[in-house]
Amino acid sequence: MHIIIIGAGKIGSSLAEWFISLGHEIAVVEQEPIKCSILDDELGSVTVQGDGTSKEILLSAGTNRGDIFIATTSSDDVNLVACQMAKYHFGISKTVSIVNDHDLTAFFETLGVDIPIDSTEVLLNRIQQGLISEGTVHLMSVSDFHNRILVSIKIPAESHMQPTTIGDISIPNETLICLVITTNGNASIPKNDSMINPGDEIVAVTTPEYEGRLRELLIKGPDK
Amino acid sequence: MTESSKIQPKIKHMVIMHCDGLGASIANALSDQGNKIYIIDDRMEAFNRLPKNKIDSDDITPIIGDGTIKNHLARAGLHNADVFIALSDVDSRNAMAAQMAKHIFKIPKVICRIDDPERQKMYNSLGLYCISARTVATQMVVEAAKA
Repeated sequence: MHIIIIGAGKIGSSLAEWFISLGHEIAVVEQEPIKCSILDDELGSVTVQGDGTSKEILLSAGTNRGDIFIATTSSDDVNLVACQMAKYHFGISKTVSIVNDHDLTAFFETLGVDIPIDSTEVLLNRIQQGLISEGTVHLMSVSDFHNRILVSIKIPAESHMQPTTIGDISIPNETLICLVITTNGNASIPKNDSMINPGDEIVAVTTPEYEGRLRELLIKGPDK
Repeated sequence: MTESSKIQPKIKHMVIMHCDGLGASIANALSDQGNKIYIIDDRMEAFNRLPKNKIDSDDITPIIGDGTIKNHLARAGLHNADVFIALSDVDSRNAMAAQMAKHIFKIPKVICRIDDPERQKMYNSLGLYCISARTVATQMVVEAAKA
């Protein structure tokens, strides 16, 4: 795929590196010459120096043959106009934008940005989750429509939980345990009679609503 | 003459973003026509360009704020405005403020300064009324030089 990234800041640069490692072709549009040369030194010649809201610059970044367009600058107005230009002038079907101002996420969607990413909310969620459920890691959201999330829960080795079987735990609604990884690194797809022990890591699909309950059951063991 | 044509036109509430020479001059001219003007800028000193008597008489109200931030626009009374005019010298800021005015605040008339012709083409088709100070001035100078 050909992917166009606007902004060679931390997010833009990391995305660029990731897409290259996956074997995709990328172009990074960046206003500041110094940031361009730093990224070019790291990743080879990938930058186009200029204004990401200019048709001419977008053209030289190959937006006309682009598959995905991602705006990552710290200016919401630049991100919005860049995505709109990509869509209007080049017919890009998938535009992604970082939205710095929490208030504007829905607005970006109304104006045709396919995937607006509310950076404040993402950070806020991570901080809150980190504080509330220590030991639970949100791996990804599975489906936007049903609010499913993939989580990893580490049962503390010093937990008072007695070794138990999956079948003995009354797993909450809308939750599926997908994988049990033991302390020696063996991963298996659990059946009803599979054992879970302190120190194991559990990967499960659940919802934000039932996540806390699942964690409680895994750490404390089945209800007595 | 019919009775209705004698009725004074409703005083229009207009919000202008950016108070440089152009913004101040447009604010003054629209206020002369009897409109109530709010002008928003994040630089206090920018308001020195406005006629002091019109500020004192509340015909022109300066609002300190950033025209691309929703709450700041709300402070300029955008919920009740009839016209919004984005006049900064940065196309993308104008485009964002103008689209907020149109889609969030549902302002019936939105005028937006867009200097780049390709961006202008797009925003005209997306329903903004685009003007370009640069294009107008360029045409006038070219005409004048020809004559």
